[in-house]
Amino acid sequence: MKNIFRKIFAMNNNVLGINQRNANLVYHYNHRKDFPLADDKVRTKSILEKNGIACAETYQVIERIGDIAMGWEAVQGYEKIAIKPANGSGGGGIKILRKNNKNQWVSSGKGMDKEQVFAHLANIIMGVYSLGGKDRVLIERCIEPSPFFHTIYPKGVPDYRVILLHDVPLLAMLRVPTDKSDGKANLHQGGLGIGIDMKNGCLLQGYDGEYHDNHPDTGAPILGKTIPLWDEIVAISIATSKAFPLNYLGIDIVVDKDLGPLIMEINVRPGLGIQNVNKVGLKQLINQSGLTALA
Amino acid sequence: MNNNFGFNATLAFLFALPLGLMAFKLAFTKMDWMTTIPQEAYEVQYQFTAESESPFYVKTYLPKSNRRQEIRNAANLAGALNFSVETVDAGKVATWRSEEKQAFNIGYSFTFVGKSIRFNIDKDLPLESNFDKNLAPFLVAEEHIQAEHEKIVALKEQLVGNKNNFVKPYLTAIYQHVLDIPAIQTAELTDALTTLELNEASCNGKSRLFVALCRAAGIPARTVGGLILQNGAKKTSHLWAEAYVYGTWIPFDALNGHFAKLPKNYLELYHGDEFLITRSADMIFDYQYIISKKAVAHPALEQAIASGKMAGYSIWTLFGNTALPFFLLRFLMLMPLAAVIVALFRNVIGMKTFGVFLPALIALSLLGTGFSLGIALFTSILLFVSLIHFPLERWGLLYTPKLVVMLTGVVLAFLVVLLLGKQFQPNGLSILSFFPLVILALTAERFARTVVEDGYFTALKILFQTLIVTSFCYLIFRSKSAQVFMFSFPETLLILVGIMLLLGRWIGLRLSEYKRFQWIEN
Repeated sequence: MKNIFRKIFAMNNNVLGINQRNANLVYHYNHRKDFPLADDKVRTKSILEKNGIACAETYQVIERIGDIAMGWEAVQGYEKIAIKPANGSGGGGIKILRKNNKNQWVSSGKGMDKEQVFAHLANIIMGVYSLGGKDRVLIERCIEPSPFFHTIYPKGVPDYRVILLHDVPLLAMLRVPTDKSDGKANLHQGGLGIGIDMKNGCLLQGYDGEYHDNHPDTGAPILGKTIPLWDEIVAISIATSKAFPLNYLGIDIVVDKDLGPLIMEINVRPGLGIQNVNKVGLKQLINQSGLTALA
Repeated sequence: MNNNFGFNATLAFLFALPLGLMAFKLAFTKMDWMTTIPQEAYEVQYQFTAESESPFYVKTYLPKSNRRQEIRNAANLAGALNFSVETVDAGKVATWRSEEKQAFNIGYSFTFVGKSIRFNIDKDLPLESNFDKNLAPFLVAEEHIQAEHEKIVALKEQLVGNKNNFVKPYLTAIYQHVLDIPAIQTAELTDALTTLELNEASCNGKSRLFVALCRAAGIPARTVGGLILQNGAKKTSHLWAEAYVYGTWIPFDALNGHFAKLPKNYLELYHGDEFLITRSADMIFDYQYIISKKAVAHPALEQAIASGKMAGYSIWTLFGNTALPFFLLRFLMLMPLAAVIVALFRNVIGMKTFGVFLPALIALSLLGTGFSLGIALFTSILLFVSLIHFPLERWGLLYTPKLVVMLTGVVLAFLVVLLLGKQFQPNGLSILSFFPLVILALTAERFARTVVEDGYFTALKILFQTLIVTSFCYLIFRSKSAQVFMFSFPETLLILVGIMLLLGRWIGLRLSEYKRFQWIEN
């Protein structure tokens, strides 16, 4: 009994819950008018580019149905592209297209003719992937993940998530796809979160509901693995945080095999599962950092 | 700091004012607070039209208050006619007479508040004999109740001949036999013998046969005439039966399946084998009954209001005289309470629900359908309509048109349920009328999207949690105490707002998060 109370006390002191995240961090440190800077990928990238922060090169932004033909024509010189709704969420509407040896566009192993691509672009603009609102299409360079990731799991694009408060990185994890997650790295879609020892730049245990020292599908060792380019990853996350008027945010970073760390996305309401992955409470970290005192 | 002052001041006001009001009310009134709940009532109006070349009369029965019905505000609406009322054995008879030769509208109106009634007949009660003299008429044959006819007696023998001499098995056997006779709709008078011979009848034939069989078996019995009250205009009156068991007349309706019970919307007008309306021959006559359901204040409360004692004390005194249906008033007063329940479940316990107020709205419609049937209908309609989502999604339909298709799916599912309902439950057509159609469509869409994005397991988990919260909201809507409280102390609404202001700033861990983050070490 005493132990249970001690545990509840410990949790209240250390763990950040949704109520407190929303009340004391998300809405307290970020202005609502700045949320679109994070929610809209086109606006995010324009701030990143203005500040010289690396992100995937934008090939085209298509805003109107009438501009689809022209916009599509303009990207025909590339071999591989990523098509995204600027305001999409949860990965909906994202398509990776590459050219096969007959010079035809292929997506997930299936050929796509011009009509199919146009229909998809039109759907994005009409807001199918962004809950009724109008949206725009972002066509950008397709990331080639660094070979380091393939030593853990051979498919998909893993990314790092760093949580920052007042430009100070507090907590980070690496998200890796699993057989169950179908190429996706999101935790709630079955991806594996791997904790990070931020001081030493190495991986900790993996977490997908249970803790693992090795990747549950490939068996590749995780625990203690050194993260290449860790200092650069931290540096780019701090630079990004400084470039935005948002004070509490989660930054998603991918590492391209040629270009190194690139900013992928910014979240104003970063999830709390990262605490499970690292086995450490955000409240404890924030209070220890001296940035602010959470009740 | 200033910010906090405003918050705290508002909070103090939201708690202090209602608590003060409550204390004041409790200290200065000696009311039975139960009386603040409005009663479900029916306004009934007789509408007769009469036209004659010679002097005429029209007679009918007027309702009387008794153990299960209360009649108020009775009024004769035919001022030009000679009107008289007399009480006879069968009931209270009104007579309108005219010496003139012209057309008249005859009307009579009253408010009816009924109670449902149910008797348990002990299975060990022996048959009575040696009845009081005044029960003699209820044991012998009448013109249309041929209790002594050989066929009736033979049927009685067949039904109860092998039974021990106890009341309950006798009544059960007779009732069951009459209940099983196929029902037909007819305005013709059917007597007990004809009912037996044709083996089909409407309410009046069945009731007469039931009474005849009871009398043949030595149980005093009589027919009872009245109206089944439902919103709208009707011409059909109703006949049921009563059997005399150890000093009490116990009701039986072998047409609508009520054994020793009556629902609260049965208006009783007379007993005995009488006609509801009698009139002069040679006249043009038409009639109908106009019935509307509404809420009325408890008479004790009305009295308190009239004496000025209750002015402004309960919500009902403010709205009592409007035509607001009780259902709506109850909804208005209890909705915020249900919404608070939803908020607590979400923010304190950490349950996820489809839609913030969906559980409250579904709970409301459960009041009409009954709990288990309502939950089953809600779940199956939701699952069925969410199936529509998948092809629509594959074809890349835009959000709004997709929702319209799903809404239409909900409507179609409704129609099917209504048709099925008509098969099984002829009078229960309106059970679905309160289901929030649009919200069901939105929820089906959300459900299907959750299936796509997070998988079946998550979607079903949220659905399950939605149903749990719905059940709690249902308890609130059903709770008599909650009703009395909100009707008597409507100022509680301010307290609810206060609680939500506190909850809105509460930053503690949700209960579900204690489970989610249980890895933590001491």
